[in-house]
Amino acid sequence: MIRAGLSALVAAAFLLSLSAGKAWIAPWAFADGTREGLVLLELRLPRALLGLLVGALLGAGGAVLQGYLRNPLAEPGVLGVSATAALGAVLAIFLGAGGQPLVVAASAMAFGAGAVALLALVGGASGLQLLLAGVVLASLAAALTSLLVSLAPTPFALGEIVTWLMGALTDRTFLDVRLLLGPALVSFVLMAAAARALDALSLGEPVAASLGVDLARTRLLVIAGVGLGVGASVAVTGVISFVGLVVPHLLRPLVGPEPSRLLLPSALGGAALVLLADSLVRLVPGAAELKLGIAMALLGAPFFLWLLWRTRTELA
Amino acid sequence: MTAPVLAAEGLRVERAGFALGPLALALVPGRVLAILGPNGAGKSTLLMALAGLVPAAGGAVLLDGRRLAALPPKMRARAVGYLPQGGDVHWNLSARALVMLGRTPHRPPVGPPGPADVAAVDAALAATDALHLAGRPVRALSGGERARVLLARVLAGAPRVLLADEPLQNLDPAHQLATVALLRDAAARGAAVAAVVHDLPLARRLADDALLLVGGRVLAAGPAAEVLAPGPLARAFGIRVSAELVPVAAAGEAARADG
Repeated sequence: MIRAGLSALVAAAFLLSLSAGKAWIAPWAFADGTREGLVLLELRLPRALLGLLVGALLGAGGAVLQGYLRNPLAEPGVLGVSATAALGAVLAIFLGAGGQPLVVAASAMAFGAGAVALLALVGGASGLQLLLAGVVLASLAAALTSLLVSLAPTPFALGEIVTWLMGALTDRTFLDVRLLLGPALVSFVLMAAAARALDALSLGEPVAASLGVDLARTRLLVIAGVGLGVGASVAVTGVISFVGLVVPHLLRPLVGPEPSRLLLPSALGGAALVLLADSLVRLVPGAAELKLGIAMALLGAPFFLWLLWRTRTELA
Repeated sequence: MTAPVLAAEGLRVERAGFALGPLALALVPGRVLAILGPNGAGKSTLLMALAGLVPAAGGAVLLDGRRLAALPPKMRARAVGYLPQGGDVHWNLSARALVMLGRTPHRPPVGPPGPADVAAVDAALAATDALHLAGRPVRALSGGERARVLLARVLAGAPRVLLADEPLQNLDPAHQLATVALLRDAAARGAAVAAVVHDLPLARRLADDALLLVGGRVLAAGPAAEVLAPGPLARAFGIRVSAELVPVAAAGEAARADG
């Protein structure tokens, strides 16, 4: 029921994302052979597909991280996973791989996975410790990224890095879709494979182990699944925060708190949220388009504060 | 005597500067073993080692004569149920969803629960007098209600070996007696049960056998009536046990010791 509703929402958001913009185009214009049809096929369709995939990855990634770390405040952006993946991509561009999207993406994925591994190592299940680890990680990644930006060898590389850092879905092509598709599918499979184990982890690691859960395997699935998904998303669209935080939270009261039940709805919800937000930023009047990453942060940060306020007793 | 289903042989465990063992014990189908000892004696560590959750530094835990550590996790999980002390629940699951987690080793990696899983969960909830709590979120339950739901979680897995760490904690006297009856009932249906217990009268009521653990070593082990007697108890806890605390069979012995 909720899945059907979310699927319908995703479909509607997808169509809106195709149509919305400075010029409204009907979704069926692609068959016309007109200039509008061309815009739809070459610009808006890859953009909508990327929004769909990135939103689903970030939504599911948030649900999986929250389940694994048993912490409702866990999210790839908040915990610095996205920032670390961005550092990986920036490092690749800095070292001259800007023209090779595959290298940039691989570097972002490796750094993303490294960040999740580090969090699993030092964060533990304590909410406060985990958040602090995430804050430190995010600051460190941001500082190193700034360092690379200030050291950028050429104005061209600098421009490339800065444009890319502001998360956005503008000017993307099918090349980006193709780049993201493989890692996205692998990431979804890995995250789904961890789902049952995440449920058992609600009772803590010893009990989960006593229920036959292979803790080492689960850690590996989560690190690889979230790192790959977030890393690939960041490589293609830059940093888009808070999707993985907001979506599982809104859905938990509707589908129940078990991580396995939350996974697919969070993917659908994330896709819908990113598609809607990306349609909205195009409709804000003004010469330049509002960057999606900035818009999500503007929406997500107050939500996160509200959440902190609501869960303050649990964290203490 | 029936062959043990779970046995420890020369078992040694080292954890954060604490050494347990070497010790030997055997859990037999149909019998309940009470593990007693002062705080910090290693009772919880022993239970975790028996469940295969902490590695042995020496010796081995054997399930049906085979090394527990070498068994596939799922197979081990079906045979050995473990109920920890306290029992954290990190999400506000419904009582039914929580008990269903006990079915994890019986379910395939994906897919909804089967009819056998649902039946086992219902039976476990009914046995612990918690069926009326099934739809309630665990954070809305009282300490005692929660303890019963957590016990139902272990029972739902129908383990052949049931290891419970202070299962009587947080329960009112009526539910303590009911839980004792439940554990005895599990044993009557063929399970081997080991439970950490602090309350001496309840331990006597619960257990066929008893093991006194002090400083990581076995101070006394054997039939409950012999182990839970003034002599061993005085050596374990440094207290003089009066006849009121050691009821039934041991009472006469206690009186003799006092006199």
